[in-house]
Amino acid sequence: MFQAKIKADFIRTVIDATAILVDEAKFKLTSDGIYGRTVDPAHVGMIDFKLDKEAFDEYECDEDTEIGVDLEKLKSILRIATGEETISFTYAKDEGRMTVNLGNLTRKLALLDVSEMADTKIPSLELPAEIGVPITEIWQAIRAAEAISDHIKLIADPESFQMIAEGDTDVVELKLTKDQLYTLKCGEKVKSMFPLDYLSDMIKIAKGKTDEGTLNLGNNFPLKLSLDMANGTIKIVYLLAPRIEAE
Amino acid sequence: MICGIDEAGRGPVIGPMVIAAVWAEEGAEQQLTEAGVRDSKKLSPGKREQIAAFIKKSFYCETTVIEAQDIDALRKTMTINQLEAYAFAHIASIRRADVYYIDAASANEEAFKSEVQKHMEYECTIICKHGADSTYAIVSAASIIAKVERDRRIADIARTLEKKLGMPLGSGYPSDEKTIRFIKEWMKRFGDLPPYIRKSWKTVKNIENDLRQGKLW
Repeated sequence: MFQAKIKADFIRTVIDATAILVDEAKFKLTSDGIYGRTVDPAHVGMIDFKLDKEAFDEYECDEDTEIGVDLEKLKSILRIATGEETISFTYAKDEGRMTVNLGNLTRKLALLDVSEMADTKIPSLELPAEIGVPITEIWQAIRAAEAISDHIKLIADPESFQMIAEGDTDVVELKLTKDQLYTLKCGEKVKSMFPLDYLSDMIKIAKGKTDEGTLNLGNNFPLKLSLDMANGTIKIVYLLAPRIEAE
Repeated sequence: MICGIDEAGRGPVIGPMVIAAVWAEEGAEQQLTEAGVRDSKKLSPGKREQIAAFIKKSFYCETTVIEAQDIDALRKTMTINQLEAYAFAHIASIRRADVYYIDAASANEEAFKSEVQKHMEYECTIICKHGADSTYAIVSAASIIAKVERDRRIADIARTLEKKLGMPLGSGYPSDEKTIRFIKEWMKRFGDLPPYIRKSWKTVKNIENDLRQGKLW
């Protein structure tokens, strides 16, 4: 038996965060919260999140269960709620439907067959550089870059962090020195290039919900983006595969 | 004297765009229709070739071929509509006619007409309509000439490229899965884009992006 009450904004965050990558996802309901780990069909972007039971107003989960959710359907319900409204979820194992309550409104949401949904594994990565970045500045850099290119280079060295996008004729550059960053742990210079559309979608999830994001970066390696929100009760980790640099 | 102008190969991602013009005396419409001249899309390839031969024998025709790399170069400074209008005016000016009938393709009829007029060397009447290649036999005739020439060129291109890669080229249109697969495979195997391809086409840029993107696993 699963029963939970949570602020609409909190559940919306993890659902939106997953929906940028896939239309359907598997979630794990456990005694200490909800976990979701999904990779997009192209295997370029991945999310690994934990929605801690502390994020909920009420939370009860008798036994670990996996459910498959049509994200568009769930988003359509969540859209109706305002940020501060409480939504409750009830689910009995093998029931096939999740009951969602919003005030006096009840929606029974049909769930998907999880046996059809494979487990997602997390690739083990050694990413030598760690950078604590201000989300608002990163977001601005991404917005500026989107106007001229579809990819962006991230560079870290012991003294600074840079984001550089080059179009046919124009260049966008963001440079943050050590004192302008929350953290900078970098031995040797590293750089990798990433697709802007994915990165933009990921940072947008953080925007307005947290001031800081942690990037782990390597040389032509995937990017790891860690976001802590709602006082650490929502933890989202994104992985993004790099682009091969054009000559 | 009337003249019909049409093009073939505006949309494909491979090969040239061919513009054709056919000149005839007024009243030739009947002769053309009797000979089976209709919108080139409504004829089988065999019939098209046959009728093209008849048109070339009986009327004055001209074709202009704009190669893929030239389309790429020209599109840096103009839209495909502007390019087409310029090419139409250019071919029209080869021989003076009193009325030119042209197919407006996907452009706004009035806008396309004035774009063509802008490049014309002399005053003339231009009738510019969507579907002119069905409505006016003289334009149908031009569309047949253009299509036959385009088909001939693409067949040569296909022969050359297919021999090298060992895969079918497909129709050359961006919507054709075969063509997309061909281009992707070529790039993977030879590390560069195949010749005769329109590099400025969004299709190609998407494929290039796709191949440059790494995966998590």
